[in-house]
Amino acid sequence: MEQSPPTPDVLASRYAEIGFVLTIPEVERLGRRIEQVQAGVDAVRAIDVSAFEPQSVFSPTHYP
Amino acid sequence: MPLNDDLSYASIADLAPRIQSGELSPVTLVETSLARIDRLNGRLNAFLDVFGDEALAAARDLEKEAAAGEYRGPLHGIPVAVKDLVDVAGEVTTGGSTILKDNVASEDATVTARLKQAGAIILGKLNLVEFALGATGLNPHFGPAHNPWNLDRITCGSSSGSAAAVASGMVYGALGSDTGGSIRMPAAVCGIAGLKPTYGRVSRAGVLDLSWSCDHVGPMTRRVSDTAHMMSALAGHDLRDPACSAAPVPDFAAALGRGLDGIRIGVPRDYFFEELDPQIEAAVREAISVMERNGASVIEVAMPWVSRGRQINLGIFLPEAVSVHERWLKEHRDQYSPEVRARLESGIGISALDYIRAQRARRLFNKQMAEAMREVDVLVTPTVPIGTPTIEACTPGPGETQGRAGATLASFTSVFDVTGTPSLSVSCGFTDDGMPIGMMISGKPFDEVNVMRVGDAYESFAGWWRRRPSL
Repeated sequence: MEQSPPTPDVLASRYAEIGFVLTIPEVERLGRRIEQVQAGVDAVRAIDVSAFEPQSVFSPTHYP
Repeated sequence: MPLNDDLSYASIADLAPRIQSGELSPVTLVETSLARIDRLNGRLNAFLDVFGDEALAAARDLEKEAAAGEYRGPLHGIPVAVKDLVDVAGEVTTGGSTILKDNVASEDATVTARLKQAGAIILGKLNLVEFALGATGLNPHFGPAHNPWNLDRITCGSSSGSAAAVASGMVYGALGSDTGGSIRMPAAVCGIAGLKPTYGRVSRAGVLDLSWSCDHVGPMTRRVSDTAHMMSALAGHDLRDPACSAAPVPDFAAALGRGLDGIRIGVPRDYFFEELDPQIEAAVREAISVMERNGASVIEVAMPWVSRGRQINLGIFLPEAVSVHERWLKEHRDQYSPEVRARLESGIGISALDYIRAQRARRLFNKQMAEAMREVDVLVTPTVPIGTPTIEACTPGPGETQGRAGATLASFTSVFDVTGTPSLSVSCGFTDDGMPIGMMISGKPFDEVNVMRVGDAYESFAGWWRRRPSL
């Protein structure tokens, strides 16, 4: 089932829970940017990564 | 000190034997650079800080060393500068932000120390996008760097001052950093060479973080041969950077000048040539033809998955950047520009699960890239997909957090920040309105040698580096 995006007041509340204090109008102004970021996240979610471990920061796969 | 354009635009390779022989003094070079900075920086805004006295003192010492036969190598006495997120001991590292206006570095970054050890003279700190988080080159705290080819146009970013300083002949080389394209985009639109080395090839110790797993530090110069000289000083294992590789470091400069015989150039069939300014496409395709006529074989490469690179880059660097900035965002939120703050805050909601998913997707992406490059030595693509916008077009209006242009600038470059593989931008022509066009040459892990060999050979055939901006 498709989830609708969280409303600005819900987002502001979630941000506040982890210490980032933004007003609801500030969250509203971020709206288009958050949509762009979410589109990128959704595109990555669509990739089947089941056969792959995460890339390591400190010994990437390209290291000899 | 009279201005001497020929001296200011000479290559490191040309200057080195003159310094070694004593014909040319490092003091003369530093004085020439300082005079040029004095004349041009008011218009270009490339330098945030100039270390004139320190540079002249270092030049006098290096002059004596050369006279005593203690020549250090090709960078001996060469004036360079660093992006102002690279530490220089005793100097402020602002990162392009007022939050760090009192952030005096206690020691040199490893890259600074290695440049000094090689005899290079650090002339100052260069302008950048606030915290290196942006592609346009604008900075509301320090003002934008201006493109030497047209002062109304952006330099791209985030290594904006580095590109402007090198392209205008203020210095012979500069350091930039690249998380989504911040070395190669400014190099492309300012008509110079810029190399993002393999992730781990050059230490990041003492360089302000943006995204641990995507950050790269690398050189920007007017010629690829000069890039190679800087790389020889910069590359190599460093215990101060836990991600720095112990891979052997080749003699980068010695590998140049071998032409293109036997080189296999891959040209992607997908993505890179799909939504592209027609003048940029024509210039890059002509450059590929030039290389083919001069000995390279050209092979079309299918990579239908490659458009995912931008999203994977975003899904990794944005949560890493939010983590890097967490404390400042909570304690100094009002000191961020609205645009950079919005960019960071839009990433707060990315979950740990989605970050890990992006790192898993990166692993798949890198495997696909390695397979696609099995039959070729390098990939050749455009660096930037659009013509260079004006500063005005990139400046957010009242109440806006994003300018009209700029969102697409990093579409191509960010692919190689995901793979961590070496990627070089070289100049391959000019648009009808006189702006430089960049071509990107990207190679296999730790194969900067072939990447620079191709760039150096193309430069020799095409000769675009001979053009200078009218300043």
